[in-house]
Amino acid sequence: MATKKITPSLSAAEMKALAAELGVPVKEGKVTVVRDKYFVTVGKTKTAIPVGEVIDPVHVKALAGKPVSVIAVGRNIVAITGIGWKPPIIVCYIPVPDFIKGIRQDLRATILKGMVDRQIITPDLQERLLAGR
Amino acid sequence: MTPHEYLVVEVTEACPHACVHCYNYWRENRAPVLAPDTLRRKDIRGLIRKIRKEAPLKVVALSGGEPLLRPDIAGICTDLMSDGLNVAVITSGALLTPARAARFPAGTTFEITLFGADAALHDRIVGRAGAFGRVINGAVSAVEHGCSVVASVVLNRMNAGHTRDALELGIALGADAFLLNRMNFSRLTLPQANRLGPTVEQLKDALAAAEAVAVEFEASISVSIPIPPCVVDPAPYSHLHFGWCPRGGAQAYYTLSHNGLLRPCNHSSFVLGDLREKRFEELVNSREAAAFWAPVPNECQTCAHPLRDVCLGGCPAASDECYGTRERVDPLVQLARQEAACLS
Repeated sequence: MATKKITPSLSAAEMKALAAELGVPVKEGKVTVVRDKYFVTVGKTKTAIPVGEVIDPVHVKALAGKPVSVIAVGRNIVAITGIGWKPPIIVCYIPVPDFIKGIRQDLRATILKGMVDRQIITPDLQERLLAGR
Repeated sequence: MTPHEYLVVEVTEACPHACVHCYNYWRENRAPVLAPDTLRRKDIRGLIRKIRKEAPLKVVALSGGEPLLRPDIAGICTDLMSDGLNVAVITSGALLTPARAARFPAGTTFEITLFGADAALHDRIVGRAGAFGRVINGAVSAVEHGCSVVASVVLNRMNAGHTRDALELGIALGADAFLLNRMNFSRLTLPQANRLGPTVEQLKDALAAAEAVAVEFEASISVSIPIPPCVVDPAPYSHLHFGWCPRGGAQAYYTLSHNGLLRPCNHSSFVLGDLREKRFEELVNSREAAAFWAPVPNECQTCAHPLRDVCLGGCPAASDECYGTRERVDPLVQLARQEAACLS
């Protein structure tokens, strides 16, 4: 569950086929990194690349400054050569063990105190929670 | 062999609550805790052992209804944990008294549903006075007993503005991970969708609140009921884990009904077959299962969003329950369109 399979980026032929399917051209673009934010510029249009759960920033960083092939529909970037994506974890209603990572105790204690101050949690329950942790 | 690691077991259809957004297809039945056809403790252990001969099962979620209504629920949990499985009990938490909690093996995970930090709001959503106080006490009992707590925040139109409060309450109560699930629609809730379903703006605000909590507390928050990107694009919420329907794949969570019937997931009333009579592999690799997962709504075929191939139209079970077909896109999309039409 913790290991996410990276789906390889599209090949040139796949890019061409996808562009044909969508009825748009494959364009040349350039990837840039500005203060940990990632962009692809096609012509005069600069669009943010949403790195995070789906697109690994490491892959995007490796492309910085290089020309890439881009498929865009309207303002949406559909595909960029060299960027694969990882399917997100699926947990739905099931909390899988890999997903349970805990909260720093000092932060938890602060929030707990706030809940006591707001009279949502009683001091008695606060004590039991602190003792139970 | 099949690749499946997760399973939901609905140990009873009975529930003392009447949540306004409940998707269970039997919600209008007043089901007894133990019906004549309800699987007994030894049956549940036997069927899960049978599945493990054909699948590398790792996690079993005991759900319902309200699983804590069963007097033997701690025993069921002990059986499964003794067999080397991770067990999560999906519960409202309201019945988790210190005495009940003490019967469970330490290390049990309790997934407890929170709607905010407002007692009146919580009680109104679940339809029972005093429920909020019992849930708080329940979570404390679980923590005292050395169990893990996962907070499941379910969003509807009434509580979507309380997301941060709900997550912070979960943190205060000792939760180690969080699910942030928008309500899912069913045949019974769809007619009230305009009153019950969260609006697009509410969803965006709720996700922004959750993103802030994920950053500030390094909290693991999973948005697991699919929110199609044509309703809200997940890109700005990079610290949240967005889940998509696994459509029968390795991460699917087939669901065992209280009576031994196997279904594609907990949202669906579709029955693949009787696990007491057929093998797990036979049921999940059946033509019926393939046909259940296959349809992708026509309009999604031309979607240009990068997440198209994981979204595939949202929750097919919700479409099936609401419209009687999986060829239609998730009802949330329809709701968002209606909302947009009203605003324009």
